[in-house]
Amino acid sequence: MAFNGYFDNAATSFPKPKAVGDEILRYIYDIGGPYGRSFYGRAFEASGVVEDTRFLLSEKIHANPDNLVFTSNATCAINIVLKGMELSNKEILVSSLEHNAVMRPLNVLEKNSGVKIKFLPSFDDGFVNVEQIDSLLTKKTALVVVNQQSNVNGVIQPVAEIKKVIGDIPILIDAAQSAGHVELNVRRDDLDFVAFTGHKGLLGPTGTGGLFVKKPEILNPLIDGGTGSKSESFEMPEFMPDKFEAGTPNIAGIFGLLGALSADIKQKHSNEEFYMLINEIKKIKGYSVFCAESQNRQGGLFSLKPETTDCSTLGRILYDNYDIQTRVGLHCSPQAHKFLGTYPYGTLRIAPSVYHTSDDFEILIKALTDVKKLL
Amino acid sequence: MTDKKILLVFESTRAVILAERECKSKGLKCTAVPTPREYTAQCGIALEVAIEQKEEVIKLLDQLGKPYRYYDKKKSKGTSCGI
Repeated sequence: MAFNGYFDNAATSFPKPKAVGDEILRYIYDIGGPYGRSFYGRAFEASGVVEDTRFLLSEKIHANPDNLVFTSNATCAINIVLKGMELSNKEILVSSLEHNAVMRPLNVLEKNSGVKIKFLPSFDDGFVNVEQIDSLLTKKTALVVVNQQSNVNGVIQPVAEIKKVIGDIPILIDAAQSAGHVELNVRRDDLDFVAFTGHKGLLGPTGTGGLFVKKPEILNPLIDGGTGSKSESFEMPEFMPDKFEAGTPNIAGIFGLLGALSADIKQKHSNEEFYMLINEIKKIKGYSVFCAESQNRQGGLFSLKPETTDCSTLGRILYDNYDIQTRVGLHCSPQAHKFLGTYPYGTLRIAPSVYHTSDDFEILIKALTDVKKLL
Repeated sequence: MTDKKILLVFESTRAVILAERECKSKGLKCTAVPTPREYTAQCGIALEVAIEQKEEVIKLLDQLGKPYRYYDKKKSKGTSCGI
């Protein structure tokens, strides 16, 4: 089997299951038609696929499908929550490893709406210290935001335990990296909002994503427009999912996402082989590795930094000489890098997919070993 | 079976699709139609079913738990059902 040098799956997954392309083409060439706007067969079939996809996604997180809305990506879903809640002059707690999908909208709220951002206490790898959260909670705490799996060091946060401590305060889970990799149970864990994308761990096409909303009544829509329902009114419908689905969705993309969800691709390496990859790289002198402090909170990606050169140089050498594709820099997460001490230059991220084998890992280790001798 | 039909209208497309699937899974014939102008349009798509199947369909839709209205096409005001 040819070496799979694509280690940038935290940016977007590649390859996709064949069914993704097949389903997109089926929509483009055979089915066509709008979602929810017309009565004829092709429109009904397209709408049915959208609902099938909603159902499968809901099943994955144990949600009622009525409470799951489609968005163009996780960023859009996060913005729906942060800009749809009444947060003026309130306090928002965030983890130390947040992405700019959260930090930038929060920065706007801080500037324009008097929102105060506070950081959840955490251990050295950014894992939230649940026992110390209580002291941060005040009457003004209106929301807690947690990146379930860091896109820099792969730390998986204890979202269920965090929710237990904060009680009725709503929690927004950024599942951009974790969806498809880490279990989420919104019912059991009483989660309020989950934002996810379709094109990373779920292996679907770009331009797909979604948001789970437990209590739609506490959110205003971010986008107003046509829904194919309640058309006699200039007001957005209050019922779900229409309340947050103005405009035609990415139907072709949703067909592709259904293809991905139905493909049921099994991971071609074991978790132990992945942990071994991290440990072997740690053994190579001259690299600092950024990962979780313990395996039980390690997600499927990590970062490293060469001690004698910069990440950009290393990334280029790996690509030019070994066709190893990685992402270097800040990964849109300056907050996480500041916390980890790798700001402003960042790290080189290794993010395998389910398609990687232990043979691919061995080639990566050998390349990193050989490169180090040259640096 | 007569030609008389009842019309079912729903809030959302999602509800129409779920209702249509539910009916078909139980062997009840229903047809998606554009919601006629004379009925208050919630969602632009409605379902048409034979009047002989009215009771069975209504029982099924009540179990589905999606708000709907049905019209026998003679009344000007529909009957609200569901949650």
